[in-house]
Amino acid sequence: MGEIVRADNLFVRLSGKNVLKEINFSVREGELMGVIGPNGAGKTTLLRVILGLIPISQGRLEVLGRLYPQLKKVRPMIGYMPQRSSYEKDIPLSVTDVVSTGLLTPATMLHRLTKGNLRVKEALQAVDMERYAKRYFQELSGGEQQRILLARSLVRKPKLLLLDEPNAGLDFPAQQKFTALLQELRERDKLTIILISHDLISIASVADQLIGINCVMHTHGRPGDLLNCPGLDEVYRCQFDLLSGIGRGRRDQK
Amino acid sequence: MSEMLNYDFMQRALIAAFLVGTLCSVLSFFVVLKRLSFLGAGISHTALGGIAIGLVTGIDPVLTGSIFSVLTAMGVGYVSRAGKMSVDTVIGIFYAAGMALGIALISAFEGYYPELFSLLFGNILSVSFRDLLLMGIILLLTLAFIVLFFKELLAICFDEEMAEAGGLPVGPLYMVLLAVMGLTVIVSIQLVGIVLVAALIVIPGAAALRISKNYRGMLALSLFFGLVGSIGGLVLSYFYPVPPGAAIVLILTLLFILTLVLNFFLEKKLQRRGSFEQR
Repeated sequence: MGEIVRADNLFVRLSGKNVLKEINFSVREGELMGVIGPNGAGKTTLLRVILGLIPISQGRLEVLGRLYPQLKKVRPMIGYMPQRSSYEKDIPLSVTDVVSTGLLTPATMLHRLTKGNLRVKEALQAVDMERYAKRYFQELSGGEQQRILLARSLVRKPKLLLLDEPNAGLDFPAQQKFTALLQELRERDKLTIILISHDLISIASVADQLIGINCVMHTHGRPGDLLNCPGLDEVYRCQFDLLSGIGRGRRDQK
Repeated sequence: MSEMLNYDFMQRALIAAFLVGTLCSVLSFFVVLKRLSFLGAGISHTALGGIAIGLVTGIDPVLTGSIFSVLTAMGVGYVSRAGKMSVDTVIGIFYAAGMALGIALISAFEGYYPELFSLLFGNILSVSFRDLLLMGIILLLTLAFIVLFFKELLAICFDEEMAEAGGLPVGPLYMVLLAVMGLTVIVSIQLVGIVLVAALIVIPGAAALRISKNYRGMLALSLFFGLVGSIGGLVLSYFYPVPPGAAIVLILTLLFILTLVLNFFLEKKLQRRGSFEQR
């Protein structure tokens, strides 16, 4: 299995401030890496760096065999699902229309989308939403919309999938279903996935490795080892009791 | 009605209403979906600065206004993106600055500017052949841009971040859309004037969105409302003593209210059907 993403001593500076520093990890083909950390820790920035949308200021980054700054060339091989808040909810598009937007690349500009319908059908089949093809996107529930957006990020048959808090705002059964779907896709299509989540228990159950960042990378390892290590307290700057799900602030400790 | 067509100025006015009605309603589709409605009002008011430069220097005010509007639209886009500010905030600043420049220039270079009243409130009956030619060229350029990049523009309206991640040139396409908006505003000013032009690029799309669930229907309805408003308003002003610009905006507003009412009844019907099926 080859390396799909490798970051060595990565630094990212935005508006004169280091938003990410000393980031080191490697994701191999077919692996699922979870990214955890508090709000504003730089998790979304990390995904945008991998996409080549944000420049790195120091370090080395290799994605799908291409070194930074040539990441633009690998974007068509990456499926990306941003946070739920990024898309326009009231736009009058059908499910097929939404999934089709995932096929657009610089190469398809000024051209008709050939084999578009077949690709859309396959992507909807992959997330078990084929019967929703003609429904309107705005009429669907939050969980259904998330599956459609996942189909959108799969429609190009990517080698790497970047998911930014796909479970946010979903109820518990919808979260469970989504996580099960990710597992299925991973096993069936050998997809490499980098997943951001706030749900530590859920992400630990599916990830091969976890990294905990809060500007700096505090922890990196297998989920079982990591959830009990002190590095996690460093990431969130509070002490965790994962069994009760309670995080106590450091001041309480004192 | 046929008597109306005997006048040359009315023939030119009808062609202008058709061209501008088509231009604004096609653009309105994207203005509403991309939530750029305030930008339309902003550009039109900012245009006063460019028009005033033309009036006091003796250069064609349509030319100076066009350059000023396009630069303003692209400036708003650039400043909001580069400075990570909301588009509304940047428009609010440009809007007031453009108006202030216009007022300052007109006050400083005191003189008689008969065109100013027409530009503020529109005067479609004074449209010349040259104006029609300009409207036709801008319509053709706008349609060419929209037809060529329709699917990309739609993807940007749905989710800019996903479109950018897919490698689409989101920034350049957005900038061209804003420039087209600037030009549209300038040619539309002759129809309804600076004060009312925003209605022409907002209402057709907003009314269409109320009653259509797919984008194709929305685009067709936007075009229909735009043409009914612009041609209907002109015809109304021929028979009744109402200025064409005001008549056009009032008809469009009426159409918008009708779509609100229609949407209300459609929703009720759907709710009733839903509760009946549950039983």
